[in-house]
Amino acid sequence: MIIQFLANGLVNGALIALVALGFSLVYNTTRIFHIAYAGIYLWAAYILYFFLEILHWPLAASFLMAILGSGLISLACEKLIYAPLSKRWRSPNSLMISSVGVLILMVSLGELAFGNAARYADIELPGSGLDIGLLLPGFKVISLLLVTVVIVLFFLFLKYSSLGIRIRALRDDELLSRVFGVNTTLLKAGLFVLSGFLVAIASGLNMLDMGINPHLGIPVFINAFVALVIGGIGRFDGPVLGGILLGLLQAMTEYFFDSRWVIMVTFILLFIFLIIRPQGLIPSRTRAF
Amino acid sequence: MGYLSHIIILINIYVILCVASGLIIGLSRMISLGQAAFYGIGAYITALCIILLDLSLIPSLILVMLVNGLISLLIAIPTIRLRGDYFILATLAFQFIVFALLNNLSSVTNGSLGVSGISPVSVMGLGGINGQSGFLILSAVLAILVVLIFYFIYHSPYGVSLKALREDELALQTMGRNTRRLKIMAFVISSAFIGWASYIFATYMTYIYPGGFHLDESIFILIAVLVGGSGSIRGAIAGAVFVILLPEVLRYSGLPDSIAAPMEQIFFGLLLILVMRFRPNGLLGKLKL
Repeated sequence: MIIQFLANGLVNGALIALVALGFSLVYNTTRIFHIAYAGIYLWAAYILYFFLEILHWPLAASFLMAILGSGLISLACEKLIYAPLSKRWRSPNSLMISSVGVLILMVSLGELAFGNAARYADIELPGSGLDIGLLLPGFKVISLLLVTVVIVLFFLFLKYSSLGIRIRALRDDELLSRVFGVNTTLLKAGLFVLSGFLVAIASGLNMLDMGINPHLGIPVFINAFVALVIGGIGRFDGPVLGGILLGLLQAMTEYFFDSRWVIMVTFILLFIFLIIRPQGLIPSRTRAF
Repeated sequence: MGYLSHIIILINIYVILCVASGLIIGLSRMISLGQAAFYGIGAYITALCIILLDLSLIPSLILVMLVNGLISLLIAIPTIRLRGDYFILATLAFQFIVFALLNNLSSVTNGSLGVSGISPVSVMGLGGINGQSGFLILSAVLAILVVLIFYFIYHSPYGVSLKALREDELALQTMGRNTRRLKIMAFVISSAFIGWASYIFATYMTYIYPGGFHLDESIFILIAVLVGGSGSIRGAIAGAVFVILLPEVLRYSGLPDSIAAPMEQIFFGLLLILVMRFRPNGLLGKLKL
């Protein structure tokens, strides 16, 4: 029985890890407390729902549109909100507060467009016929595989491509990478797009399985940020580890206590980490901020 | 008259909330997303004072302040050293933990159903306060008292140190001030006075439930303080009046409720973005962000 819960937790953990990875792309490099990310998660799911259920596009095409749309929203956040404020040398706090504004805006627009109730994808999920004696429904297995592939590909990209090297350079020292001729403005815009892509994959998979409602974004964001803190801020492998651990821990909370206490346990864990080990499980070797 | 005095009582409650929160959010620029948690704790302590202990006005006000102050002290000691995003995250965590406790500890707090039957205030020697005119006077007196006390704090050497802390913490430390203690004190004072707002709210409504003290409420307080003008009492009062009056204006615009509620949020979100972009010190604020 507990194996069942843990298997479920692993899938949820992988989804959290993907969201956290997308967030860390922005957070590790620009240090913007990009809370509007929760709104992008929400809208990625709504775009998928819109193309799939209202326009009746095929699943793959709708998913692609969700990924593109989410990247676009993310880019708009950077270009319309963060970049103008950074140019005026506003403090990180004002960027964060603007981000809260964007989040409120996106959540209420979602509420206005799709209503307060949850929306579900009413389609035959791929892999639903798959039953090979596993503990998980076929779709969850497929999600897990897909997320794993995306994360592995992302790390290969980060390690070997020249763009990946530039991203890591930006993370380590923005000024120095600019001195060496990296176009940081363009690179940052690219990072926002990429983070939008990553969150759309997680959000889309979750929406197909569990549906979406306007208030789902914030808890997911919180999970992702907690995963980031547990894993270690300033690295890209930290959030993945943190996400999977958090997913497993939440599953165990559900098994031993009750699902009502999941968010409580998550935050107690966060408190413990913030106070005892703020550098996370895998501390970053770059300089302290 | 009934409607008008209802609005004025709500404004008085929010003036207390915003002026008290302004001390940390506005003056010392520690962005807290956990203000509603203290508001909620205060309201439940009020219920406890009145239903179980049968205390009159002054002892309950003092008890609520003490409990709120004590809890905020316990929260402040470990979290105050966290900077920027981490502090926000810790207050967010606190907000969710308190909400989960109020919601899930059914045997103590009656869960999501809330506590009803909080009887009217009794003032020693003056009989009971009930009816709207009584609450109008009570809330106005407390609000004016809070404004006076905070006016005094803002202009005391302590308030000036807080202002300096916001501009340059390191410089203040160099001058030999214990900035940690300054911040903890600000946090405790602010939470203690939020207890007064809870007291009026709980006795006026006679019914409280955890949903009234959710994250949305914290964000609402944040908006009021920042939009009005951070770092000044005038600004906090203006913000409080503004966030209470705006929904009432929208109510008369004839929109159905399912549209009016998100529209109000959209307006707040846009306002927050625009204020941060063009008047980062708030509409009435003087200090630079």
